[in-house]
Amino acid sequence: MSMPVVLLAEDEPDILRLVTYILRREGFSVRTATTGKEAVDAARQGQVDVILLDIMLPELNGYGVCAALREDPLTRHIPIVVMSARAQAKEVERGLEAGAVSYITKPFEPAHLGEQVRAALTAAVSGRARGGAGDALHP
Amino acid sequence: MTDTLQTLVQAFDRMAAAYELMARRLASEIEQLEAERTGLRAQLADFSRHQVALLQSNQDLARLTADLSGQVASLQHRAEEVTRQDQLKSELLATVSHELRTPLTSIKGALSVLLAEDPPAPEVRTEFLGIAHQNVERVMRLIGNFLNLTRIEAGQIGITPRSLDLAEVLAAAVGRMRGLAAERRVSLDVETPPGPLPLTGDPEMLESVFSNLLDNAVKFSPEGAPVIVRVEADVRAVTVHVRDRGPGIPPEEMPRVFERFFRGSPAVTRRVPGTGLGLHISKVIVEAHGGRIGVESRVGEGSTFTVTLPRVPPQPAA
Repeated sequence: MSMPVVLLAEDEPDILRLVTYILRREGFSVRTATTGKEAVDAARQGQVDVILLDIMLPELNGYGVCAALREDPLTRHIPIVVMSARAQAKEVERGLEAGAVSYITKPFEPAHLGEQVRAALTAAVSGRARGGAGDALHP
Repeated sequence: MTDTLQTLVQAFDRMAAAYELMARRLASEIEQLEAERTGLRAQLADFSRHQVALLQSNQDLARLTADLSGQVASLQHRAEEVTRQDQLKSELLATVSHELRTPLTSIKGALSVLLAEDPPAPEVRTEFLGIAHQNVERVMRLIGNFLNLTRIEAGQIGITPRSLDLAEVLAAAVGRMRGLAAERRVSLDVETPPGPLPLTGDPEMLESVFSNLLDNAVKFSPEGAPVIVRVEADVRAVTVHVRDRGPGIPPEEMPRVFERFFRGSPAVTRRVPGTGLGLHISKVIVEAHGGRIGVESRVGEGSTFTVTLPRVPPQPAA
C-alpha cells in the first residue's frame, strides 16, 4: 500500500492536532473524526487501513465504536488501536474484548505511536494473508 | 288453755331467740362484708395507682425508644453521608487524575515533536510551543481548583485580605484565557471603567473565580461568538458580568449550578471537560469576601454570570 490511511478518532483538539502531525510525519495519510458516530461513518465510507481510537469520545464511546465496526462485515477487518488514560483500564479491557488489536495509554511516547499503528497494520495484513484474524498485541 | 298459751309463749320466745341470733349473725356478716368492701376499695385504689404508674412507665419507655430511634436514624444518616463524601472524594481523585492526563499528553506530545525535529520549522515551533503553554495553564487551573477544594473541605478557606486592584486581577484572568479563546475562535471583550478598582480581598482567590467564569464561558461558546466581560463600579462595590452565547442552562438545573460536582446537561452531552468544581469554589470564595454570585440564563441564548464584591468585606472575614 502506498500511503496507509489512518482514521484518527479523538475529541481533544490539541491531541488531535499533535497525533495527526506525528502520524503524517511517520508516513501515514490521516483522516479525523471527533465523535464516535463520525468515526463509525468514516470507517464505513471505506479506504481506511487502520483506526486509532480514543476511548472517551462524545456520542458513542470507543467501546461502542469497536462493537459497531466488528459487527459490520464492511469494517470488521480494520485493525483498531485504542488510546486511553490509564485510569480506564476496564474500558480498555472491554475494547480489547470487542476486537481492538492493541492499546496505547496517555500520556504516550510519540515515537511509540507510529510503531503501534504500523504493528497493528502488519499483523492485520499478515493475518489476512494467513487466512485468520491477527493476534491481539499487548504493549 | 294455759298449757297452749305457755307453749305459744315458749314458741315465740324460741322464735325471738332464733331471730335475734339470726340478726346478730347478719350484723356480723354485714360487718365482715363492710370490712371486705373497705379492703377491696383499698386494693382498687392501689391498682389504680399501679396502673397510672405503669402508664407513666410506658410513656417514658416510648419516649426513650423514640429518642433512640432518632439517634440511630441520625447516626445512619451520618454514616451514609460519610460514605457518600468518601465516594465523592474517590471520584474527584479519579476525575482529577484523568483531567490531568489530557493536557499532560498534549504538553508531552508537543515538546517531544519539537525535540525530535532538528530544527523544527518556525510555524511548527510556534504552534506546538503554544499548545504546550496553553495546556500548562490548564493544568495550573485544574490543580488550583483542586487545592482550593481540599482547603475548603478542611475548613481552611480563610482569605488573606489585602488591598488590591480588581482591574489588575481581572486583567490577569483575561490574559490567561486569551490563548484558549484564540484557539476556539472566541473573542474576549472587556468593558470596564478606566482606572484602578481598589478593593480589599485575596487577589489569588479572586483571580481563580474570574478564571473559572471565563473558562466556562469560552468552553461553551460556539466558534465566532463573543464572551463579554462588563464591569460596573461604585463607591461601595464592584460588579463583574461575564456573558456568553453558549447553550444556556435549563431552568430546572439553575438552582443546582453552584453545587459541588454538579455538571449541567449541556456539559455532559457535549463532553466538555471539567470537574464540576469551578462554580462551587467560586461561590464559596465570593461569599467569603462578603459578596454575591448569581446567574441569568436562557436555553439557546447563553448565560450571564454576575459577581458583586464589596470594596471592603464585612468583619469578620470568613
